[in-house]
Amino acid sequence: MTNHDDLLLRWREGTLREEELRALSAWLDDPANRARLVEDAFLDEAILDALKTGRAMNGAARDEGRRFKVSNIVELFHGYFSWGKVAAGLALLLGMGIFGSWLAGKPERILATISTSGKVVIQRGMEFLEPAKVVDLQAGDLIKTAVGGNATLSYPEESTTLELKEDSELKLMTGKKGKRLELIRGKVEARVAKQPIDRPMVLDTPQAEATVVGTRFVLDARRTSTWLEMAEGAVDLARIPEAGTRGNGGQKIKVVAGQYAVVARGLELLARPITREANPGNPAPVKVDLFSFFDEGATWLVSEEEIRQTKIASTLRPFKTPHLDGHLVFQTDVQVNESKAGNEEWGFALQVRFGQGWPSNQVIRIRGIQNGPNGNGFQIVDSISKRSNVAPFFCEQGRVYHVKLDANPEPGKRVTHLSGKIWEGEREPVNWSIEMDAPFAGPLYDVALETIRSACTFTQLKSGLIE
Amino acid sequence: MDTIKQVSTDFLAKRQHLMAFIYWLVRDPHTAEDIFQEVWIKLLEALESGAAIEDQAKWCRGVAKNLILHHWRDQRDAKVLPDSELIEKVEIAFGEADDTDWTDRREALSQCLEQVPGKLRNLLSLKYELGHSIDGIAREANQSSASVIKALLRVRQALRQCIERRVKISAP
Repeated sequence: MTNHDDLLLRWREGTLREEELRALSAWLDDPANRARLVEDAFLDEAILDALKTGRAMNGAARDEGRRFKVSNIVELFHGYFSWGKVAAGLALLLGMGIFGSWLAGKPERILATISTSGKVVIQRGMEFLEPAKVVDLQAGDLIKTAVGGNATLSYPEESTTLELKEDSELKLMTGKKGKRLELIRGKVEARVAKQPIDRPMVLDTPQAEATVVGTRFVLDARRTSTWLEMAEGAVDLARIPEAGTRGNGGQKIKVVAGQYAVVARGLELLARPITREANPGNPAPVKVDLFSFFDEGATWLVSEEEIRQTKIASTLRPFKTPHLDGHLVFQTDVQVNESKAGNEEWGFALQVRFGQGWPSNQVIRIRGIQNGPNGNGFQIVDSISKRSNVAPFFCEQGRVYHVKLDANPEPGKRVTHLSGKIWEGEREPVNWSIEMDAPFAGPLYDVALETIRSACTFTQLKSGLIE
Repeated sequence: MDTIKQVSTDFLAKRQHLMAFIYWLVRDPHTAEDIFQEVWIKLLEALESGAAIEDQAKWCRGVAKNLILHHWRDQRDAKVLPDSELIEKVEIAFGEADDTDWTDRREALSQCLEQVPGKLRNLLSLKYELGHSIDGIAREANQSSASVIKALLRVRQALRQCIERRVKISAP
């Protein structure tokens, strides 16, 4: 391997030191090296693309639990090397022989067995094994359940079982001080027999660390949050600090039977009672800071009970929120007290802004508009794509309407699914009135209430994190 | 409408060049995908605002470069970040290769990959698709990082040679 191979490789790994970055930069002064870099980059991109598009075929090969065979290597090189390059081929074979030794490693055995239903795969190192063929689980084993799949881990010398629900990933770790598992994503329902105090079971998720001495609970590692629901006993739940280092720096709480807790960026870590109104299936309340903004015209009156625009005006009142990622829901009640007379457009809006701040924020407006270009309607509008969707809606002054917006982002697909509804009375309709997709623009920035040539009273402004 | 059609045709024709540029710089497949799509959104916004874009491939690289710089600034835990000089040189390198056609090579690569044994393909998947670090792969496989580096370099080299051979065979 030349110096430059090493530099390029370590560049890909992000491990270059400052002087090495300078060396790489100097190396690129030569046009021939620049051409080489581009070829290298094309190869990388082409491999990535080919692997992504060939995923299904690879998956089938993995499902067979295919083992590494020398004949496969021979097959790889058969026909690709002239006899004059036999030496090079041999060197390659020797190099790849390194992988043969990977199978001979002796990772720690875990005294647990696994039973499965539906589609489940165990990844051991770089092999994908059928669970039926796995006798002992090992430290490092990664258990993946597909949709409809389910796996139960049992520790035979105690009555501890972990049921890994569908579409989840659980990794067994080396636990010198007790059992340690990493719930990478998805849900696990656990019944944990009493563990020695100095050797608790620890479950890690991307956001949290749950320490268990003996209890029954459900731990759910979602995309941007971790939810813990306690049925019996108690669990110590710690937030993993953002920098990524675990330990004492993270906030920690005890969650006991009848409580649930959510770990998510920007959300206060609290043990909350499981009730019909507040449980892991429903949103975790996100604080909307009512007193974070002062409008100079002083035409908005803000109190815990209500937020009121006292004059007929087209104005906006923003409120700070934590900058959260994830599936969010927003709600407010609104009453139009007065509006501009005549045929001009009037109404109200709930605004939710996503992104890193002004001026690049995305503004999603969900609004009730009367006398608008589409007549009387309830509308979702996105400021980035300029797309909108509207449903008929007639607003009567003096009546109270409930407005709800659901924003469910899929950052991987660069899209946020938006749904809105408006209704009167106690009974919330099951269906959404309007739905639309908008480009994904980043985390929640803030929320705002808006009057459009009207004076309105808003109450019950709420925001919640669903996932 | 015709302009948008032409722009999207050109964008799609050069997408692999742009993706290779982004992916080489950010080194993470998911971030690269995000930035790639962001460039497309910005391109549509520019069109909508009536901006005149002379060299679309160059324009897209410029936008991607800025997004990559933003991405790096947000990487609070990054120890050493490349300076703008290095990025500009990479930008120049890709500019010089704007006319390079990798279609045949890509085709050959797909065929070569099909013959890579499952275990080595899993190694490529861990590295490229899932974006695992070499140290991470080594830990998972209970091997040294040096072994993983050697294996990766050799698989890449074998693929490179396989591509060249197939391109030569299929050349008229």
